[in-house]
Amino acid sequence: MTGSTDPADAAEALLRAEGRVAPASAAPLVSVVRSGEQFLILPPSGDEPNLGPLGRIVLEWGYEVPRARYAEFQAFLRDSNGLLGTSSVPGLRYLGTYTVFQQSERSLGSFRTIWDLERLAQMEEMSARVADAGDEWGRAVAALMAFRDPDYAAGRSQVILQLAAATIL
Amino acid sequence: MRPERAAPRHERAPGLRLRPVPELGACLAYTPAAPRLHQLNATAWLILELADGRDDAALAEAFAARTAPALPAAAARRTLENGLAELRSRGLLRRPPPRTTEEGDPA
Repeated sequence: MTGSTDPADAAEALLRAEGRVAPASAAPLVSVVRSGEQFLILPPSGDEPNLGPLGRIVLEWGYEVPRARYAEFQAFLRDSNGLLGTSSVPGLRYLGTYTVFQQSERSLGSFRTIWDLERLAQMEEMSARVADAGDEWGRAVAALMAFRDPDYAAGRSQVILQLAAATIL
Repeated sequence: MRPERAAPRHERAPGLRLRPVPELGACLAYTPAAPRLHQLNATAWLILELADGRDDAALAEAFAARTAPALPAAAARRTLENGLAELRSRGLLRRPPPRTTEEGDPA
């Protein structure tokens, strides 16, 4: 992605970052709210005790990587682990990328990248860094995302968790 | 003088709103007239951005330029045609009624 304000440029940049031009797909979305209406996401209070080893919010991306790119993906993760860990968004941390050893739902994807953060606004800041071609960390995140299989039928998921002790239940 | 048909083109669904989500490698499209949300991949998003009122020939030229060299010309044409059909079938693009060059001219 670039800092261009032309949306066609942004779409082209995303396409080039993916490394191939997949057939166009427009998949209808059916929103499934798992918890939003039940558990409120709250900003940190400031005097909150440390309630766990991870941040208040854990963001988990599930995805597939095309099998032909497995070796390249592993090499990227080895080479870029340090860089991915130097987030340019204060309070947002890269916790690593994992393969799924076991799960009951295939459509969630065979890989997980896990982040922790303090507030939801950091997800927007992350998007801005990814869109900024001058941000080295953002470029590394974009490169990581480019390994995800763009085929709509490929497994893909996103989970956002909030510390239960910091949630109004 | 016989009125000439304007070049064929596509237009976006009325009120179509696009919201890029680069961290998901996608763009969300909302059509308020028929309230529906679609997730577009980058190719579909690019096609929608290029369908800005230009005629189909100009659209094909722009798409080919932006997908080269990954797609050779013939593949770019096929990908665009299939993409346009997909976006029409989802109600995100449509073909406006044929116009003639005399339409809108003062009598």
